[in-house]
Amino acid sequence: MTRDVDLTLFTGFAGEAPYIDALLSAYPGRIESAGEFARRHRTLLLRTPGGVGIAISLGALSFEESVVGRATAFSFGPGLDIRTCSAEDLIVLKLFASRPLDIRDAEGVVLRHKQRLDWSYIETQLRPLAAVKGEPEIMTTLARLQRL
Amino acid sequence: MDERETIRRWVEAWKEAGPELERIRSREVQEADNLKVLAALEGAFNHALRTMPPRPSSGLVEMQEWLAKLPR
Repeated sequence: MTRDVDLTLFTGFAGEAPYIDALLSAYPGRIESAGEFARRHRTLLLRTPGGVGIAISLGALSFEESVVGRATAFSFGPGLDIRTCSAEDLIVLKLFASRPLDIRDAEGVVLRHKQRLDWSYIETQLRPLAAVKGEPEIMTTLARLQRL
Repeated sequence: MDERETIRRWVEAWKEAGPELERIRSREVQEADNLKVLAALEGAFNHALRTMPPRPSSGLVEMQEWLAKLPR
């Protein structure tokens, strides 16, 4: 069961420091030297006072800009709207990770949204990611999901 | 019935059940109400928070390492 909050904050390259400092002044780090870790690995690991882990990806690539730009508000209740990534981008991210649980999650997203998915967008975004990872089987998994 | 036959029947039963279970899962996923599911899982989520501290890393760290290899 997911119990962390995963966020993308689009900072661009070389603009991360003020965001890292501001976030570290509001939330404790999950590890020692969380700021230095974030500068090196572009991921800031925090936790809420209630103990929920927060991972903030410091976005800079056009793919990440697209993910942020396509995000829409989802209402979890009155006064509680949270921007979540599109179904297409969630499929891209899940298949890029491609652990068995991620693939299962991607299947669930496809089952929920399959009539409305922009498959061309998914393929365009995923292909270079699969290539850089050296895992062409990711595209095979995508083809299987299209047949669900 | 010998053990071999028992196992064969067990395998056959699961072969038949597999697609049917997938159909049920597919229908349940399509019909699930997000807010109801979140409410149903609230207790399990709070239990996990109480008993398991946040992990020291995240899948996002690995993702960023791969993204760093992409052309800017």
